[in-house]
Amino acid sequence: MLFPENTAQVQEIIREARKNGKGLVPLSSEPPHFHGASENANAETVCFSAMNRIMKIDRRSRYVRVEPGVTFGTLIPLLAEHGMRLNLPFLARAGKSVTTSALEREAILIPKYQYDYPDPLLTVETVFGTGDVFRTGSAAGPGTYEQNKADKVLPWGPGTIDYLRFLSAAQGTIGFVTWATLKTEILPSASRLFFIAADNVGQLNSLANALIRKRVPDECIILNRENFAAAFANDLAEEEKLRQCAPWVMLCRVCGFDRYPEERVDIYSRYVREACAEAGLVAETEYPLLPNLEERIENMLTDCDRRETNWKLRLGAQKELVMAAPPSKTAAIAEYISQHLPQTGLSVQPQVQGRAFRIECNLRFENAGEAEKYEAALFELAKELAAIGAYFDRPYGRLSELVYTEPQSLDAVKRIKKIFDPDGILNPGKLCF
Amino acid sequence: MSFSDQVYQELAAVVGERYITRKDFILAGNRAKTPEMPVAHPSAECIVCPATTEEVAEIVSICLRHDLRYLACVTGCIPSAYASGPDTVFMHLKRMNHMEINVEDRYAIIEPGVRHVQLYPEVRKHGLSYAAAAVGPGGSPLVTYAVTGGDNHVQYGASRPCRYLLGVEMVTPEGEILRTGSLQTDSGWFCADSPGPSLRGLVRGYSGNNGKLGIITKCAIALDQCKGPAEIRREGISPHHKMFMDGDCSRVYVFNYENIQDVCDAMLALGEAEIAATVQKYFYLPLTLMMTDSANDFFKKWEYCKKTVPMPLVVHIATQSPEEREYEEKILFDIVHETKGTRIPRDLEMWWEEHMDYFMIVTRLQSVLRLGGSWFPCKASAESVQHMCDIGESISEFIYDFTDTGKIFDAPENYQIIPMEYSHFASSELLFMWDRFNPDGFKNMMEFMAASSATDAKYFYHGSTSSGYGPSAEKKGKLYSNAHIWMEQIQKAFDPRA
Amino acid sequence: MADLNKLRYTIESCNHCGQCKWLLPGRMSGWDFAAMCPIHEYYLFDAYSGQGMLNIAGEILSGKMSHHEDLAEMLYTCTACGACDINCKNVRDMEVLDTILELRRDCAEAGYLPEVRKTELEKVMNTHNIYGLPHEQRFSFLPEDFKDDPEADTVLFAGCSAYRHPETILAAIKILKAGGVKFRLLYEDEWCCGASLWRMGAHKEAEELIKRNVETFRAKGVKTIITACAECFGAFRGGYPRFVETEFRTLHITQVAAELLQQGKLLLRDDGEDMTVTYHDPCMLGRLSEEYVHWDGEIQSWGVHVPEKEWRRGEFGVYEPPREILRAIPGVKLQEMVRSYEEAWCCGHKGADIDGEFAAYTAGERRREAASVGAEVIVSCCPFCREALDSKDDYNLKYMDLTELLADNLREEGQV
Repeated sequence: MLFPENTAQVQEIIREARKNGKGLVPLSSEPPHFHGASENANAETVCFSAMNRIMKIDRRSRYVRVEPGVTFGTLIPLLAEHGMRLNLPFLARAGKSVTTSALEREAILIPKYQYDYPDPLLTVETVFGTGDVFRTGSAAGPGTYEQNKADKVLPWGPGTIDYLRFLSAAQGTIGFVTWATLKTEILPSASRLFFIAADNVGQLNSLANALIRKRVPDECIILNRENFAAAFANDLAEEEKLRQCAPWVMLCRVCGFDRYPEERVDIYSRYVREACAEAGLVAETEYPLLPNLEERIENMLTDCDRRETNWKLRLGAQKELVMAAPPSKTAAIAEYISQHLPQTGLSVQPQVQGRAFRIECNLRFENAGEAEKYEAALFELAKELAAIGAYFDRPYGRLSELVYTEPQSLDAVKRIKKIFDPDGILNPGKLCF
Repeated sequence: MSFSDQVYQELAAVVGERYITRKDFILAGNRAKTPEMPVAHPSAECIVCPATTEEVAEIVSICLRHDLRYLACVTGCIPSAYASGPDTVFMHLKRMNHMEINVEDRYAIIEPGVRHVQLYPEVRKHGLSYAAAAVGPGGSPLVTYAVTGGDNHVQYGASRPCRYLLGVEMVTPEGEILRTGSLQTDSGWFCADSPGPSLRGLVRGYSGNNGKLGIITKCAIALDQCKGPAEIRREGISPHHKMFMDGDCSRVYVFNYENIQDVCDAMLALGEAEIAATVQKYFYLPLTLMMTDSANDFFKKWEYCKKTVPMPLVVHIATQSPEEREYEEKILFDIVHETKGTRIPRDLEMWWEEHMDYFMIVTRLQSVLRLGGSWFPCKASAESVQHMCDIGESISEFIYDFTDTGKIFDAPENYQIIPMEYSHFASSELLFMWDRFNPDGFKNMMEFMAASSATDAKYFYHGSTSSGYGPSAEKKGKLYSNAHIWMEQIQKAFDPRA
Repeated sequence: MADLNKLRYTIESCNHCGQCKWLLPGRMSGWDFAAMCPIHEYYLFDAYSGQGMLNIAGEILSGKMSHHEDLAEMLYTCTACGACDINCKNVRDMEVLDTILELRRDCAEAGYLPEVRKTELEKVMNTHNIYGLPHEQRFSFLPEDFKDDPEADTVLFAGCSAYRHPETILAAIKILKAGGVKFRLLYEDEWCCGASLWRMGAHKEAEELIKRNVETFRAKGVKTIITACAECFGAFRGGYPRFVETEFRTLHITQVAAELLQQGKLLLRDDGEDMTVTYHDPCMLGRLSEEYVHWDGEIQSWGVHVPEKEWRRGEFGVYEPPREILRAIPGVKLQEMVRSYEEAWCCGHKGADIDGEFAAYTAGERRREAASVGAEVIVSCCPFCREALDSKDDYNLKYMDLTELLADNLREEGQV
């Protein structure tokens, strides 16, 4: 395993690999690794844990620039000191790389801040498979990193190509990112968390759509009973108690900022209650399945998961399936999964201003030896889900077989790969490469 | 190879005789010199109007086979919408004008021939909206979103069109049909990005590539909830028609500032508070033009506007309830007080209240052409609000050499800064006029542009973006992470004739 | 002689923004009915539009292109409805329609006046009407007992269309008499107004005719002209001052009638049938009817006009009086079309004898638009719009002339 400490060393590693034809696998997060990193006998692992500088925190223009080794566990409290927060994934692992999470288009919790799929990722520096360094968006120039007076926050370009998108969800097959700029938001001064229970996901799906299009909620997530219990319990006994919840629960948090925060919270709370009433639902501020559960959940929604055992692995092992869908198809997909794998946990997260949902299906099991069986079941399920509109834009493992099928786009993707990684040394075997 | 009768017949077989012409007087409609250009454009050999993506693909294939140039156009308002040399087949895409709105998933699928004046009202019928770029009612939303730039008046509470571009269907320079985003896996139009590496990266970056990497024949654009009352009241007859957003949830306030750094503070504070639907530091030359009836009238009002609104901060508040509006107004006035802004005279402020189309479809902006039609933008870029304001401040360093000598018509504060995404970023533009009656007018314009670029280079400001191809891109690309090299490689990979 | 040079500023100012082809946002309503230029919508190519004809004028002016039959056919298929002009003038200081008319004049003087227009010209010159019918029959529709007021300084100008649609003039007479308006007719002294000659570019003949007409008005002591024809109205207001100084006032019958209604001088029946109507604004009564004001000056840098020019932007056309009349008639429900007032879609009549299919398409579009707003009747007040729009098709839509509709709804006892 190689541990570069700076961009020049990453360049050196890649140039060397080109010379000797050895593949390179990037690794930024601490274990456990669910799907991003895997063993590859013909490749060396490039671990970015030593590149863990927080290069800049800018409160005025609301961004942070970090190296790939910086984790959620480190960054969240530091940003809070500056009155800022990240648009977090749901219960991100404390040891998870902030950069990798954004590069992999992990679902975020606050859809109103997400304008496009790569958000909150703004700009990056990358070393392509050619060994060349490149900076995306307004970080590109003019001049060197040091000379360029821009805040380096504009994601698009440079020019007429969106280079960031070639790197997004590419699992390191186009370039290794050596730093990333991410959007940050203001830390709220007041907030109120609502629990909205429903018998079916469709009701909550529509409610989320109605609220988010008006920019009412900050954090917003829909969980089925299995994932609600698993995520917020600290042990199996608590899980049992939390299973008393409704079949589906939407968590919706409204916030106020520095100016008249309580007023904003009151106005937005009224919007939540009105929308619920219109949908025949009730927005509760208390959910007394466990003592202080409300406070616990609010804290967990606004932080990473700092528990020793990851909630997904509490039973021993898990396999997951992640997909995207438009609002009109989300409920049907979630219901389909529930019917065909009743024991599965489901998280349904509105994304990009509520115009899409991420559906994560978590299948937990005790015997790690059965992983292949469950993986196969999920693969079969994925095929069926694709037929009813599920979109697998982050294909890990065998899922790529479902995705890279259309000849014209496959050809185009390969041409791009050829430009930026002509020798195919970056994360070989991943995606369609 | 040159254009021939055989080629004409092949093209006619694709679209039908009614939709192709090589009559010279008809070709004249697409080769005229426009006032912002020094010379006329070469004439196309023929104009052909395809109706489908498949027809576009066939036309591209014919052009490839016969080694002919081709270009696709909808409105013809920009120089790249004209033939650049002999043996050019001109594709007019106006027959491709279908649209479909998916209300639940909040997107519209549009073809190039659909115009803002068609799409905007259709979208609004469903309580939805989109950021119509400042190109007027006849502009093509597809072109704005996928092919060119697209700064707009409402991006503070929304963003630039590139953030809203979803699935795309295009014809590659090889004549193949390529689909990007969720379309790539036949999963519908809703998602912009393909599985990595996302082919959406080819479609557009900061701006679109003007067809260089393919002709975009269909795309989906994301729609937002309509801000403010859905009902638009109209009064009067053109050119003095007025459009109002009645009700208790919509108000426009305009404040004047002494310096750009105070404006910057105000914009950032508004963004942090997440209030207001639209915030913009507008440029007062176009503003004055929009308020005037003629060029003569402009010069009567110019001094007044320069004095009264040299640095106007326009704020449109559009909320879901009167209570929320009052809450936002309270914060707005606090911020304006803290940042030393002053409210402009109400009679002037009323112009916005009476012309809410300014925020919807950006009409009247073509009145910037009123002073003879010779204009040009510079500092057309985007970055953080602070960086854009710093760039705006730097304009006074070089502009006086040109305005004081009459080489261009402008004023130092006549740049706009429009924040995006609640002031996470902002775009800027300095729009100036040059005199086409002056034999040196075009030269003066070019010199001014060069001076603007030189200032950016001197301070390493992101005041323009690296774009285009050829020698100028090479010169600039070196400053931008060698972007020119990558762009050239991409073009070579996708265009057999690059 | 035609002088495109005087329109050089307009010709060289077009930035191809497309506003001459599309509805202004004030009236935007959706995907359908958003186009404004009939020839552009039908023929598709940009040359067929205000923008395109400016470009062609530019090439003619520079000598790069010469007139020929194909070009002439295109120039005269354009209905010269002026939608492009008004839309352009929403934001620009350009004379798009005047350029098109000057281009036609140039074309006519180059000898390429299309045959149908030549015939029309000859008819007007020989018989004083556009139909080539005997001049002595111009007022043959009058009832024997009709009496006008020979001393009146107000003239009801019947227009050539009285040959084909005398019922409109009879209706106008009924209204004027009911309202107590003293007026006279010109009988054999009334010749064609000359609108078609001016607009086809036959300037010499138009000038001759117009001067003759104005002299006649002066000789008869005419101070006010009332016309029930939109074409005549538009010619008197927007055409005559181009050729000769005029001191008389021109009114359309709808303006007179609306005022009479307001003054309570016309009483209406209340037993009329309920009907939903839509009103079609004739180009020459609406956007093109503003008084022409001659301007002769210099256009300086930045487009400054010295001396300052008075612009005709279509704002002060006759829009409300016809609507006031319709709103006043019991049982009539007025439903506006999307493209109305200054943004009305042309009926297409003027292109009919050049390209019948184009004209039928244009009129069909208008009828489709009328039907789309739920109208049972399309009402207008121009004999040429009537000929274009009064047709049988799938829309189950009747055409009614507004003057006749009003006259039919007058109460006998209401007559003063």
